[in-house]
Amino acid sequence: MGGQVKHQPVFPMPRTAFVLLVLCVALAIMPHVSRLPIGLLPVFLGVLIWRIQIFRQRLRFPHRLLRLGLVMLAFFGVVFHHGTIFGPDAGVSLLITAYVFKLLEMYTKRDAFLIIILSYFVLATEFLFSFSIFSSAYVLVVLIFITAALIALNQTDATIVVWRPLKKALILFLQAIPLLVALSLLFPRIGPVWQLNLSKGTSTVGLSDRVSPGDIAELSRSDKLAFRVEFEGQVPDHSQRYWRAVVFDRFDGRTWYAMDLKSQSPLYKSAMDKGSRSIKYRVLLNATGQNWLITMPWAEIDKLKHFPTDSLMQFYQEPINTNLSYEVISYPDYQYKADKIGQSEYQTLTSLPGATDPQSRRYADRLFEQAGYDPERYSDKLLNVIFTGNFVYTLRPPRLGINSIDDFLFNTQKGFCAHYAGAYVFLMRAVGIPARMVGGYQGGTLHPIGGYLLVHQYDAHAWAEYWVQGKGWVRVDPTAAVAPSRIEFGPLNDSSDRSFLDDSPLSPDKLRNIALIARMRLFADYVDYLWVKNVVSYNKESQSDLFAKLLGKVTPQRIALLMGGVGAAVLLLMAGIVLIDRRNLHRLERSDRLVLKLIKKLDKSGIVKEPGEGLASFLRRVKTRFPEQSGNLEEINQIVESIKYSNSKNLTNLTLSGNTPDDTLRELEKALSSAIERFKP
Amino acid sequence: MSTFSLYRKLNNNPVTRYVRGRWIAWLKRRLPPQRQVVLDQRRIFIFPTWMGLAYIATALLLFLAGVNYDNNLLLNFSFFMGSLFVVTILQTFANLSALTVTAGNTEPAFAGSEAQFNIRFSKSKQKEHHSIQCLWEGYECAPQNLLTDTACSVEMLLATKVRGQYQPGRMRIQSVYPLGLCRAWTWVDLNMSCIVYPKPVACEVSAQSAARHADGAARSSDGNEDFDGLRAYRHSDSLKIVDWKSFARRGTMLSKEFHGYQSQSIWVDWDQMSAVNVELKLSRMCFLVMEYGKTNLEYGLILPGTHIAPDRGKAHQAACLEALARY
Repeated sequence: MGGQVKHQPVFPMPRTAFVLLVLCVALAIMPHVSRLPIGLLPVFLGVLIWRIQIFRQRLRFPHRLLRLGLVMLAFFGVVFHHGTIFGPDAGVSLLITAYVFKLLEMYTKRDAFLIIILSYFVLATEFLFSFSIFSSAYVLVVLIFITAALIALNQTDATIVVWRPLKKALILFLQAIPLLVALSLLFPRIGPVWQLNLSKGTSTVGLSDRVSPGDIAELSRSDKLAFRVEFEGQVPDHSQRYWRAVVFDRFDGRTWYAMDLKSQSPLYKSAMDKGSRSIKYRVLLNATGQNWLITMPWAEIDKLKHFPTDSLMQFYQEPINTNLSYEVISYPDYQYKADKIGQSEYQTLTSLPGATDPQSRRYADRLFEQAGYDPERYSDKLLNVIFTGNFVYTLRPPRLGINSIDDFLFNTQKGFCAHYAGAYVFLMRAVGIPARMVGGYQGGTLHPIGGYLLVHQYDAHAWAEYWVQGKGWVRVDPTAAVAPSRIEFGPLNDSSDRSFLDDSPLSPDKLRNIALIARMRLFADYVDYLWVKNVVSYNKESQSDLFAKLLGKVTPQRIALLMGGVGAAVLLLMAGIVLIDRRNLHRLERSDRLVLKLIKKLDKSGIVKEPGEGLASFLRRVKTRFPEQSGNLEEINQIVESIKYSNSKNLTNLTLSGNTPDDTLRELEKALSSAIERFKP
Repeated sequence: MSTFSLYRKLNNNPVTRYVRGRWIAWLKRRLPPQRQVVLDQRRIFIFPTWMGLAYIATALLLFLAGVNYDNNLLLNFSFFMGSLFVVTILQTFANLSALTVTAGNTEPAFAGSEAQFNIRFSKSKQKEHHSIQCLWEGYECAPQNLLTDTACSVEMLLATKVRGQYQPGRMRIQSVYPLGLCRAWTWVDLNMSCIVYPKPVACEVSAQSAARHADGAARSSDGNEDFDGLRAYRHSDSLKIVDWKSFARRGTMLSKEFHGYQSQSIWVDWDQMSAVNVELKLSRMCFLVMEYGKTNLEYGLILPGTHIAPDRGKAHQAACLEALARY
């Protein structure tokens, strides 16, 4: 073909469409801004402005080479920032880069359409990072904008103002809702049948799989929500709420390492004595990036594929990257392996690195001797004698030297939970008592409206467990000995150390004394809680619960029937909404309907209107049958005639009121209605 | 080029021809020709556009991501996209349905030029129709919007090739509004046709008629003074030559006759055309008719089997041209 198509004519985009398109690009990127390399933001802004200037015909499209250069630069910027091109963070950054630069080569309607498709995509990726109701609401609003841009792109009436496509988009959106609800409730949740192991790559705040207390000069704790718990019945006391997540069993002198799934054997069910007391609750866990399920021990988790292990950890099948909810029954009075533990287990749980911390070891030996070689008395001694001394609970501990335990116990004597738990486990192991450090959360605050428990990241905690013949594994919290209020009331009410929120200067917790803001925060959390509980955590299990509730007995036939029935009903409803209300082409006028009513009334009493007989002559005939009502009939005839045949000016004269024609018509119809009501055949 | 040749190959394929024949026959049975058509579900077809397919692919991709990450919100997002697609199917249909298409008049054309077919879109008060497009024999009208006006007329300019009665095929009326993800269309046959005259081909005005023409011109330059007499008014007569005075006196319309104009009439004669080729003959005759039509001369047309007496005026010219077109 000819060579003249080399420079494609630029699609004359309607102004409305362009405004909406640029708007939805900006809106779709907005939530991702904090995750993008900061240097890219001015570039993106520049591209947007450039595109606007092109539209205003102040600038030309950039040269191909310039565009290529800019894209490459942005691409390397992203790779440099994230260090990878895989994973959601880097992937979304690259996607957005391509998306924004596509604006600079938007020549045809197809290009514009591609940008809109990408807008949907970029917007959806927000759900890889946030599940709160607030980001969902934001996504919803932007969704309407993108749809409006698509409408504006496909309409040709240049006179249309911006709000028209927006209104149309809102209508389409509302019409889509019935099907959306049906799909989201009933569409079979298959669960992840396959697992494309894309590395998650997002940085989540929360528990880590290693702790080195000696290297932390300042523990930064966020006020992000870790999980919520709904209790059935009595909520246990603050001091009893130990949320167990992970066990650290290996110590190299500085760092404690978490146990992973592969290195341990499954739970010995026969060695578990659950005890009599039980607590039922549901945990709504936020994404952690780890595969630890958080529970109060000993816990049985219902309807969730998981692996309980010998260390009493509970592993989920994959890292938890979305919100997860599960039902739990906890037996707080459990005893595990009360009689004996295995030889190899004994060895691991009493092992200490080479020849570090000699002072502590000697001290431990002496104390154990004083305790009469009784593990329980020895443990009590550790808690009551040492840790109640000059030890200070702080989140800004000094760094520790090479022999970190010695340095902590005999020198600095300042630390947070991991210091105390670590030192305790060290001292226990030093005398040959199996012990381990446990990580998780402690306490949590009750929501006054929802009645559920909120556990934040600042509730993260570390404690210890040791094994003793006859009792099995026993929980010990050395921090409780040092700072009892931390365990009794939680970190926020612990007056001994309030410094830990200083690192987030705008932390809303600073404002928690301001009543109104506090109440608003609580309410916002409540709304989010309902959202997470009912929508975000809706999964296979909740779906089968729903089926059970709707169907009674769940059989494949019944499920198929339900889906088919609801699907058909929803589609009919949608078709009704979209199609029928516009097709009332032959709708009768109100006066006609009233007259029809009168005719039916007369029909029953034996006076039948002949086909082709006019209303006036028909009424004349009726009058001869009901002479006593002739005045009324005459009135009916007059009103009908004035509705039918008068123009609006005459109508106004007739009723002698200064109303608009519409009002007058309505008055006449009213009069007609009452006249017909009055008529008694 | 390659796609074009592929297309041609497909076109010539007997299977394709057979299928197309059946398709047209089916359309004719389902949607018989009518002067006025109200578009309804029986007539409207609907299918995703390429953009619609891309949209569905995006929704599917998000669905897979939702399953992979076990992310309920992503799943719901893809469900929303799916629901919106279903809504847009209905909306695109609704945008086209209840639209009334009426055949308007047609303008005759010369072969090779464009014949004008007027059609009319109209709607009921409650509905709006956006971006309605009409495609007909390769001509594509600008998208029509029926929002506040209840009717609009569209001029379709269809290219003609051969003389005679021209009956174009079905027109396609389509719209992708509101989202451009689906195209709703219908094939309409409004039973419209027009006359296509032969393409005029310039030729020398023949010696005989030229002489007469010159004669007539010479006389006519004398003006209306060469008054010859009065005769009964004919419908094709110009009002300028009506003898208004006699009309006032007697009440009957009489036309003045000028001797230069009527004494010798001109014949556009088939036998006198120099060309051998039938079409060329007709084309030249068409040219002559057009030429004489510009003057005030009376001329007649002789075709084998057809004989049109000399006369003048638009109607006469049209009759002559039609006779040429239909020969």
